[in-house]
Amino acid sequence: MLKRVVVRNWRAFDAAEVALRPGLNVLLGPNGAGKTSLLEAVAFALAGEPSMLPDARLLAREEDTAVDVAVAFGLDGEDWEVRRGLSAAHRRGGDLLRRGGASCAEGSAEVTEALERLLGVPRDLFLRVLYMPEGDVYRFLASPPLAAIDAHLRRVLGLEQLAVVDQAAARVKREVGHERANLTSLAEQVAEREQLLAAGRERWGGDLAGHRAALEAERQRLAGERKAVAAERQRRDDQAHRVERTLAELAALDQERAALGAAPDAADELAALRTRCAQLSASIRQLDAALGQATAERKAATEARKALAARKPSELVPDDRAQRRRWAETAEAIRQLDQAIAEVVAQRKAVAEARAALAARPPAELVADDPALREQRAQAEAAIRALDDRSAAIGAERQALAESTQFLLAHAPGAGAEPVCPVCRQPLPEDLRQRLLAENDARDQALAAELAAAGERRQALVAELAAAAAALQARLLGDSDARDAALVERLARLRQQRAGLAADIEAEAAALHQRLLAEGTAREKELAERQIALSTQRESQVAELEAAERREGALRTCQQRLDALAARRAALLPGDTTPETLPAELARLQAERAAAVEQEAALAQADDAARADLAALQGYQQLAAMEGRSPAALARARQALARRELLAELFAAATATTLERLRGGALAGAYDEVRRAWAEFSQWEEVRLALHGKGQLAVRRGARQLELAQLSGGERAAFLALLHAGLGRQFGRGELLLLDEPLEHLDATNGRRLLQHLLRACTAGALRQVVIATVEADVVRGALRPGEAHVIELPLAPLAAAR
Amino acid sequence: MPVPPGDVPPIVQPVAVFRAALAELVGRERSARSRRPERLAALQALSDTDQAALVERFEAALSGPADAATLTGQLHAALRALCPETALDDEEANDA
Repeated sequence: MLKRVVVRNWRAFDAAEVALRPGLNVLLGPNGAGKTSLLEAVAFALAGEPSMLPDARLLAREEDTAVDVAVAFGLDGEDWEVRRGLSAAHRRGGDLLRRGGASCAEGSAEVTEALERLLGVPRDLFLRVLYMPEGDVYRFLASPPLAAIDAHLRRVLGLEQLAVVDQAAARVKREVGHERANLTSLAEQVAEREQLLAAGRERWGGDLAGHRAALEAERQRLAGERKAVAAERQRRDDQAHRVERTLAELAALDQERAALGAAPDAADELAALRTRCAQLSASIRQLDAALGQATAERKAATEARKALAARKPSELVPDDRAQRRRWAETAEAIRQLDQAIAEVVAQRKAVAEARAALAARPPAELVADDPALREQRAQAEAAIRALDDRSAAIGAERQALAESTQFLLAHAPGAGAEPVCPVCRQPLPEDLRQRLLAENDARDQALAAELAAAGERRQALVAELAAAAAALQARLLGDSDARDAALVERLARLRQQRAGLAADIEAEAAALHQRLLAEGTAREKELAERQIALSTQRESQVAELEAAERREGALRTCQQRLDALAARRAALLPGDTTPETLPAELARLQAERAAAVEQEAALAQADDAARADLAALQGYQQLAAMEGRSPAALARARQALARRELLAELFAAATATTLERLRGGALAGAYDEVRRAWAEFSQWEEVRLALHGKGQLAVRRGARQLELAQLSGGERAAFLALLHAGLGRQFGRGELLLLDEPLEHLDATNGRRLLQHLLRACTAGALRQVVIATVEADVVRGALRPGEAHVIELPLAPLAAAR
Repeated sequence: MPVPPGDVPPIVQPVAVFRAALAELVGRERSARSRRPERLAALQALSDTDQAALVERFEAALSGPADAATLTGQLHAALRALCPETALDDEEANDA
């Protein structure tokens, strides 16, 4: 799992450091921000070369400055770091692999080999599968899809070259077999070689090269002659075929012309058709006008009915005069009733206001309005005043009595003052003083009793007056309530009367409304039927017109075809050529062709003889070359050949087995991974990937088989990304996947789905770490919730970029 | 500090598949009875070095030319180099 990428003077960066995390990592940024540079730095570090820029000079940001790329990763609980470098002169150097800080491989090839073993992925497979470089989508879409996917997979597995090796191995095996057969034959011939050599010497003497050259020259001459004869035969053949084709075409022309000529006189029919077409056109125009009028009337009727339906029945005006007069009278009566109702309502309001005012007034004020009570109150007030006067007199008297009693007590014997009469100031005897004191007391008690009686009397008078006033108020309120009740009763009568009149009118209005609506509907129906009748008539006439026009067109076409046939016939028979001369011409050409064939056969026979002579000469030469070779040497040669044959057979068989196992194993496994990935992404009910031919791929959706070409461009682009994901699982064990711009050609929905698919694959553990580079910020933010993926926004901050 | 033994899956290693297939074929060939004495001798003489050479040749062919005819010539040459014909000794020359 990648942990950190550090680059110096690498492509887009002077210096940069990026931390990566497990799961989905997204390098997000605009064009030129350095996304691809970072992915290629990883590819450079892990595979020893970036896939896109093989020229080392293009990798350095600044010329004449060293390049340094370091990638830290974790594997099986240990920390590893791989470092790759280029010198200022663009030479490889400084490649290093460290485990836990200790160096364990140095040098480019050694580091690459160690990484292959460590990661379990061959370098070329890493570059082809686990790293999808930018532009792969374009290349994939630009190729025919079936060929592209097939070539892609075969390229991934190295099957193309393996097939070439298989072919070569099989050929070697065959040829070695032939050699053995020849050698066996030679061995059998060894016994006869002396005889053969003697015969050869007799036939060719010592000038083998001269004989061979002569034979080869003869064969060459024969070959040239055969070629010329064959060309002549071919020419005759072509001419004969042309004549045959001309004859066949003439026969077809004549047949067609005969069929066309069997038709009735076209001119009369054409004139009749033109007249009929004009009549029909005029009639159709009239029908169109009538149809337009009917349509307008129907539209007006519909609008009138809708307007009528929208109106209240009470707004309608009857067309019957008596009904109209009755409606007017009823309306007047209702108006009068409404007026009366309004009056009663006003009266009720006045009564209510008067009652409220009455209830709000103090009852004592009401007494002034009632004469009897007013007299009663005057009398009571006079009595009260008399009582008050009397009470005052009693008070004064009681005051005098108190002073007298006080005086008498102050002039009691032994009190210091001489007892005198309080009135005459004459000496007062004691008994008289006592009696006077007793009388004063008795009188005071009598006056107190009288005062109390006067008070009670006064209260009684006041209470009597208040009760009378309250009774008066109650009586007046009762009168008001009775008046209101009478008004309510009258109001109810008036309203009932009005409701009766209104109901009568409304019932009549509703009936009138229904009748008018029914009339409108009937009118519409009538107009619609008229429209239909007109349309039907029009369609019929249009059909007739079209048929007439078709017939007219057919007649014209027929005439044109006849003209064309005549022209073609004239072209087929140029000059003095006639259909009658053509068979003779054909017979001549066929005879010439047969002669050429015979000549060709004779030449072939001569060539066969020359070839046989040459083969015999070669055999003699071979025998001559073997002259002096012993049977033991021949046996050794056979032994060496048997060994070569065994090795060739083993090589061919092992190659064929390898090819078969890779096709049946790795390719089938790869297809299965891709099928699973595509099924999950596409959410099709049933997905199968069918292999046919040499591993060509088709997608099955349920019972329907789709070629890849039938998928949309976006679906194919997604398919490519899933192909890498599936193959990454198959060949890279899901450890790492680098995808550069996988969202190209995908709409926002499919882009989000692809990201979510990769995220799910990471979450489920199918892929441990995926690093993608993309410019699609909206798609990324729409697909991934915060924290679900490690999003690295580029361009990097100055600090990170400068470190 | 050496790198631990590799775990490259043989499924993606054509050379490993070839090596295994070759070993199987040799075993099968040896268990079969051959009537031809030359074949039998060739089989008895077949060594691990020969098999390694074939594997090496296969690996070279995988990165060799994509043209079957050229590759055929190269394979022929390689096999001839593996199976040279010995020169005639004096006795044989006299016999001849």
